[in-house]
Amino acid sequence: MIMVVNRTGSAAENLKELIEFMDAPHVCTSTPTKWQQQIGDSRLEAVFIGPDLTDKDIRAVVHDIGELDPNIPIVMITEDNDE
Amino acid sequence: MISSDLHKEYPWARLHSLNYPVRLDALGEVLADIRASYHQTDHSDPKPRGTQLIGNSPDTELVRRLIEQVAPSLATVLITGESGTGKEVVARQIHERSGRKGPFVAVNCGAIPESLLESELFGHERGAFTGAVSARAGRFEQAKGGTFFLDEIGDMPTVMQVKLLRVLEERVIERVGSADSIPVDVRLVAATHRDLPKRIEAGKFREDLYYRLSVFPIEITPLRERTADIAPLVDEFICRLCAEESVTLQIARNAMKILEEYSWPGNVRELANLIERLVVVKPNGVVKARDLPWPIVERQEGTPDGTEVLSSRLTAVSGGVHVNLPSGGLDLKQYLAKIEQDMIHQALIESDGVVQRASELLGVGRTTLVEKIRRYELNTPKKPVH
Repeated sequence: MIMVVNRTGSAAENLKELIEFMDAPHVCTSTPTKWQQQIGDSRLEAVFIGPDLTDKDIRAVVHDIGELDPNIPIVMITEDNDE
Repeated sequence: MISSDLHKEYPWARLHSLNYPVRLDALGEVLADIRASYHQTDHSDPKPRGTQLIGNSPDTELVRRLIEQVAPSLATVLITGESGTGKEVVARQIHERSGRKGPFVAVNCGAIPESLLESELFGHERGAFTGAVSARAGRFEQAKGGTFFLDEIGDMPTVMQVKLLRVLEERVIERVGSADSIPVDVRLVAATHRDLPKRIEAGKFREDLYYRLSVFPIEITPLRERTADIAPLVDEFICRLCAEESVTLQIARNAMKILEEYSWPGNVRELANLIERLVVVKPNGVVKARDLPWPIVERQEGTPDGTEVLSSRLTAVSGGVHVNLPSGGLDLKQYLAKIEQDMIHQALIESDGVVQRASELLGVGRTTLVEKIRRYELNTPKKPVH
């Protein structure tokens, strides 16, 4: 499963559609506080962190991913050209 | 820059960056990276010997899919299958793919005396019984945060079944000699080669425990019913053993065909043992049909060359070396008695010491076999466990 975490639903849905368009199966969208509950029995392949999360949100999500499985790739979506 | 800061704070994190709005080509590259690393992680992790699931038969692929499905959950898994099919391998795979950070702890319920099993599983307090000179954590506690594998659950005494049921229902244990409940964060995987519904009918296994355990059942097919796995398994064992022994070994096509047609009552464990033996007997050689032990060759129907079968029988008896008649001759009666003794011994191993099954394997009556076992003073050995 690929999880897209974003505060607003519309941007997350856009990202989900794009990822699905690239033939990635089982993409799910959620918010910074609820994403872990939505994993259920699935195996997480990657987490996409949307552009509208605060720094605090991002740190919390990254920290929780590490607790879950430090091997899960994290994709940061940024509004500017920061790498 | 948030992502550079994150690298410093979380150096383990595998971070990718994308600009928003996302460009499809950049997204494609990231997804390709993720897929590549996902498969690499699945297959390149160093694992202890024998923990990989080998083979591409539909049955093995199904077991792989079931493992993928169940591993990330906390569901209790019941693995069933004949002896030697690789139940512990499946249990380890479930643990390795679960993401649980604690250890994998395995206990064979059939190997621990009934009187010690409770203390082994749940631990004990100091002075709980004679010899308990200090407090000791049980296997459940040792598996904290990990996976607890209970092998041969079908052989667990009924008294212990009640206690295990309570652990599954309440997720707490009590050490022997203590009334304090200790919470346990453990994922339980159980396995058995026994037919549990039949054990329930016979009053030897609790029905309520069975339903608690079989939340997610995985049945492993006997090797004889997934012959497509035999060649990959042979390759894997040869590769592994030859690397350890610094030798080479090849299996001739006709020998491989025989291996694929053999019934493998001891399943993967029997195949592994055979390859281990062939590595010793034929180092740096090519294994032909006649080099295979006679029980394997014997069961092939219509073997055209009678001498090859006879030669293979002699090969088996002599541990892989062709027998040449000594110049001074031999005592045929004594020699045949030795062959008979070896065959009975082998049949008892194959049948896990069950005389009735051994007599069927040998095509003799049970009473006759019992008499021969007594005459040769043979015990009833169990199959070696690896």
